[in-house]
Amino acid sequence: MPAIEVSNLRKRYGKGVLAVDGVSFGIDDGEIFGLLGPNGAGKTTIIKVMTTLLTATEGRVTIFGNERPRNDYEIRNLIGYVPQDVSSDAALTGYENLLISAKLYGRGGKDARRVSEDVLRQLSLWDAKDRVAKTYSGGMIRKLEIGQAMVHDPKILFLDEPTIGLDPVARKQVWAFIRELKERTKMTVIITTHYMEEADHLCDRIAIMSIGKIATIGTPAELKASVSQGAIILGVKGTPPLIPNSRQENGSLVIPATNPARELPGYIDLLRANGCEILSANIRETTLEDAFVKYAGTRIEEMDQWSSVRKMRRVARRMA
Amino acid sequence: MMNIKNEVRNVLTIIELEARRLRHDYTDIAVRAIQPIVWLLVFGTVFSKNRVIDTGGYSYLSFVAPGILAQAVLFVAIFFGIMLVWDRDSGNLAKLLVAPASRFSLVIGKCFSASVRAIAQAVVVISLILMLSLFVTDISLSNNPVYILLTLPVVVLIAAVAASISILFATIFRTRERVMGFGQLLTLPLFFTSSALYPIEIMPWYLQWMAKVNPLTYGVDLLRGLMLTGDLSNALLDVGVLLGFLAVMSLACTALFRRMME
Ligand SMILES: Nc1ncnc2c1ncn2[C@@H]1O[C@H](COP(=O)(O)OP(=O)(O)OP(=O)(O)O)[C@@H](O)[C@H]1O
Ligand SMILES: [Mg+2]
Repeated sequence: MPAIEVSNLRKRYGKGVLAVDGVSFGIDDGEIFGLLGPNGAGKTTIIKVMTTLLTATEGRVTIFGNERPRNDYEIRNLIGYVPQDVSSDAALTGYENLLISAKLYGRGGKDARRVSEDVLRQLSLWDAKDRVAKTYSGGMIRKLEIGQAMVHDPKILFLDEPTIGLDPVARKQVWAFIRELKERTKMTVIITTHYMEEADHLCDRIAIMSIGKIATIGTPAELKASVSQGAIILGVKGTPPLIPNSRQENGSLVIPATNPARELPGYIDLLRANGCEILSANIRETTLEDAFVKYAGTRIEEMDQWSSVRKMRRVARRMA
Repeated sequence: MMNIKNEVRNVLTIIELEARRLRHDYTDIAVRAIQPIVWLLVFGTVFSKNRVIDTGGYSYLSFVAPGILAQAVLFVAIFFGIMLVWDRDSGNLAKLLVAPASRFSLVIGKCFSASVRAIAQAVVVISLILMLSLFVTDISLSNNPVYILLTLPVVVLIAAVAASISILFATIFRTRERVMGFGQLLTLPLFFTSSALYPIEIMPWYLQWMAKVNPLTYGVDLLRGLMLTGDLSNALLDVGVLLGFLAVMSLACTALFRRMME
């Protein structure tokens, strides 16, 4: 049974913005599914519909066969959700945050305490367990929140921008943690992020959204292959032999290649054998960002900086 | 499917959450204790001296002390709607909403969370009033300790009712600014049209009418019976009205709760 089926989902806020405009996709059990797209594309809105926080204006959403909104109660027992905004209670300790979550998911007093302690150890937050969450670093809070979403062993975990506002080291830690979690529990993970490199490494499949619609869905490799190929860029002295599809660009020889790093040595040998001298060698791999730009139609950096700043400020304000 | 036991546990968990919040930071309670005392000492003393209001044999200070307690409870509880909007904006509320709890138990849990804070507040205010009564001859309270203790369940009920009203406002007005504005607009009429400051009998007819539909009047009546007069002949009616009000309000909140997230 597929973990999630969404068909023809539409969501309009009030009488205004049509945030999600006819979206359909399925997610298999055990997949890590990435939802990418520029700010305002509708990622959070889709997640909120799937997690029972918002009602769809139109369309069908089922989670392991449970239909929204009729089976919301069953759905809530199956899912864990880490919102885009900080959701741990800043005034409570890490331990208390977990304890309350465990109790909300129906665990009794003793059981709740045991689970909370287990999770704290797994997250390596044990030493900080009695500190209030507002004294935690961004990475610690994110880990705590993921822990809170995990106390009931959900079958699906929704993570809305889990690494926003984190420094590169903390970010790597969080992603390693997610991967390890996935390995151990075999659960399905739905994740949104603005970090292409991470989405590429982590996700089994990715949907790229643009203004309320899904522009494309595929594995990272498929998405990359669907945009331009990679290339080998060589500075060459002498007359190179004829290589199909190659061209001269700014005084360098550019050779399109599907796997540039692998093919580079062969071309170097070929050119040397033809009496050329190699002055410099570069490769350009296709990145997921290339696919993102093609399908989402914006350069992510410009958008991302602003949104990071906005969100980090929001987080900082809340923690103060 | 959901069952009663789960729902009760959810309500208790949400109350526990508030109690733990309070335990980590109770400066709010201390700061808020100042206002009732100022009211009592300044406002109460002035009226007491001038004897402008007929309070039926009791000094005005004694008469108004339960009203001031009710005010302190009201101000704490009215804040809860704003806090809910705040929790929504911060993502805290989402955490509660994705848990397998009905919206109704969430609303009830939040109403009685207000009671947790209100009890803490009431203990401080009652202690201060009792202390004042040792030094200010114009304040005399019931010397039955059981009656004084019984004010606490009444405080729980008043706080829950006031919180339900403010949560209803939060579900209707939704943004922080509007909820805060309308919340303030609501607090003073609730306070002034109740029997907190003067007996209903001396009010003009339209105020009497408003006092009768104002739940705070019934709360104050209970508090005054317990703290001052010992007259509990209306207690059943008072409790009934408060419970009825809470039931209607929390059902309305539940129905409108979805609006909060949109
Ligand atoms: N509560 C709301 N009321 C009205 N409009 C909203 C609301 N929440 C989101 N929107 C609008 O819906 C659209 C989609 O927003 P959404 O938050 O789903 O985007 P997103 O892809 O998650 O963006 P980001 O990367 O910035 O998180 C945006 O135009 C946004 O302004
Ligand atoms: Mg978002």
